[in-house]
Amino acid sequence: MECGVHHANHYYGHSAVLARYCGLDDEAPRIQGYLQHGWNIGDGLAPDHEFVPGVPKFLWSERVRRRAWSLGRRDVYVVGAPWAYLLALEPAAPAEREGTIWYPFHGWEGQHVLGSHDNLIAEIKATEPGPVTVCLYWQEYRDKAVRATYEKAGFRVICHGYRGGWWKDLDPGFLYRQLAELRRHSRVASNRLCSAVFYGTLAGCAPAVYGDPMQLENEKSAFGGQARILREWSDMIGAEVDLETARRVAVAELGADRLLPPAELRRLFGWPAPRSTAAIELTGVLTS
Amino acid sequence: MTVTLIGGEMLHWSDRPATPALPPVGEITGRTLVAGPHPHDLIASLPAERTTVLLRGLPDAEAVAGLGVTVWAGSLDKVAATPAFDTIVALDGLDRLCSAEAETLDGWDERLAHLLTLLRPGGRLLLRVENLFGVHRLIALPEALGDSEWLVADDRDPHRPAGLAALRERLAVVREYAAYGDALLSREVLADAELSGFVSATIAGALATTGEVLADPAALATRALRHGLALELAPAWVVVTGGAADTPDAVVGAKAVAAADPPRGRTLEDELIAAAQRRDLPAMRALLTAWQKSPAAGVPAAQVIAGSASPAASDLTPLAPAGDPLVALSHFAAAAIRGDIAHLWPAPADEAELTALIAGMTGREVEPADVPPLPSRPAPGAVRELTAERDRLARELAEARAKHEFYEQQIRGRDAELKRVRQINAVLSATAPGKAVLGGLKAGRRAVRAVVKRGRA
Repeated sequence: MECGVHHANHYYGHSAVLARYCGLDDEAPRIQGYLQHGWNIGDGLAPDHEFVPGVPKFLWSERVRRRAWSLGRRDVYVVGAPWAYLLALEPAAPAEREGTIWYPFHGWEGQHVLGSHDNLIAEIKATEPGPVTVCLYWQEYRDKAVRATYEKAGFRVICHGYRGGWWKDLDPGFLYRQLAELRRHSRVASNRLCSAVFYGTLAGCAPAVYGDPMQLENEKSAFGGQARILREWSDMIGAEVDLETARRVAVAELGADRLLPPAELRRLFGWPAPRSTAAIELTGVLTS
Repeated sequence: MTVTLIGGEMLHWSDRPATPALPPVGEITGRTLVAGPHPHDLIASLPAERTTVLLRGLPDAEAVAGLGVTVWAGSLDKVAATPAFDTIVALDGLDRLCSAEAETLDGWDERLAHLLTLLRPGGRLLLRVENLFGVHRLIALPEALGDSEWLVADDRDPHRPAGLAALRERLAVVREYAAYGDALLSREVLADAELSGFVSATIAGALATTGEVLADPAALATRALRHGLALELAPAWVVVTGGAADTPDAVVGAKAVAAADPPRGRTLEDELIAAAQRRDLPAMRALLTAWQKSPAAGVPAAQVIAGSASPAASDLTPLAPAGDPLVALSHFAAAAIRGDIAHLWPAPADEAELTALIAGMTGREVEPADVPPLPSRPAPGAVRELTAERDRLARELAEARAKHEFYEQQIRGRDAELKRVRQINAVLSATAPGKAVLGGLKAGRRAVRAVVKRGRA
């Protein structure tokens, strides 16, 4: 029997990464549960999700699990972020790193960012010592004016792709492209603490969070919003942060210390065993 | 030897010994009285010419007579003045020494006093005393009285020692043991924190559930142990008077055990559940994996001692023979359900499902259908476990209904989507470009067929 599953499980090719870790070649296998798809200061789940009792929620970190529990969520399980699994699958080759990859805060479909891209560009230029790659969310990347603004500033402008939705235009290559880009840069930065900053930190970049946080139109401060992020995750905020601390925080937030063995993950997600299980049985411990 | 009828014997009565095997609780010397039903092995191990056995049931007396010992068939109150015994063995307690015909000695203390008149001053008494507040009583459901209960032991009797302290006041006790099944554990062994794993495994192994009870006795007893109450809540005590020198620290499996012998540490089950309760699942995975890769893989976690130094390393000492590792995992799954940690994993969380998931934590692929059922469920009729199981099943049913409703919605959504796509297809194939595409496809197919035919010809 297949179980109800949310289309968000396939955002950014998350389910595809986990399927590969589990030795399966399905790009969008059904997960018997809801998978956290972004770094989250609340219960790990998107506010628009509709929950069915008894369908498990798979979260990235123990911290989020405790918070979700305190908010009345049950059937919550820590599995770690797909990103951490991707790093376990793709060990870094020694490579030259140069410059900064900068993720201007984006809205989601239907949201609109308020704020000046020009001010942000000036601040980036004043702070970053090396070449800058700006990575835009697909929505802003498609906006020629926004793209041109950053290009005119002399930045390389890229987009990792469309995250996919409702099983259409799924992009299992999303995270791979992001990883390849992050590994080319020595710094990762954004105007808001977000998944990309943690991803970059775990992938070996020095993180930085500074600049106008660019409010969303009618932004709601769920779970304390920006103000709480600045208080609780102050170790990650600033143009220069302590690397060791940042890495420790990233490991904890992405659950990189809590990866499951493939057999356990398959069991939890209701996935079949692969035809051959010999070579891919990792221990679930990230050593890099 | 023939049976001497001393009076009060019961012609059609038999008592089964309370202890199945001989507990070697120190040396038994000199003229010995074995009072009440005891295993024949114990009686046979004593020198026949110096041993007297007192039994109230005549068939029991006749059976023991074959061992060559002196046998008195009758009630304790009828035992007349006799040369004092050097040792009295009363490991069945004092409640089955008087027959239905007894005219006196209705009280526990009266029976003890009478027995002591038969013992020489300073002689050795090995006495078992049922704890009327022991775990077996705490989990008992109301039950009809049996035929042997024409008198009932009760803790309202002010002369019956309630608790070990009272017993010590009554007797010059030199050594005392908690009796769990046929295992005897001395006060010193119970107090040694390093031996907690061994003691816990022993207690859990010794307590079997029979019939309906309120809760699993092993779970309650091991919990009492963790709270330092294993002696106070033991189902019975065995006390020794008259010289402590040769008494063992413990008796397990009918063998004397010195406190220095057993492996140190807690049970693997305790370590695993402790890690789970801290929600330290990585530590739990490491422990489970170390266990399943060790020679102790087939031994239930409750019967494995994890070295206190580094439990994650594979210094695991099994206390029982190894069987099927999957059965051992299944036992742990049952313990996880009893220990209220099953909610750490998604439902359905019955033993088989949980076993498969826990096997997954060690990297092993197991289907729930392949998990062998446990040979005997640990607590078949425990009300607490049954209530927990009922609640779990009720929750699973409610969740299954909610999921069913969700699927129905999903299917309706997909049906509508399918209908829409089919309609679009129908409309498109009716248009000129649609026809052109379809016509092109047909022409292509015809061409391919023609080529294939030519090739065959």
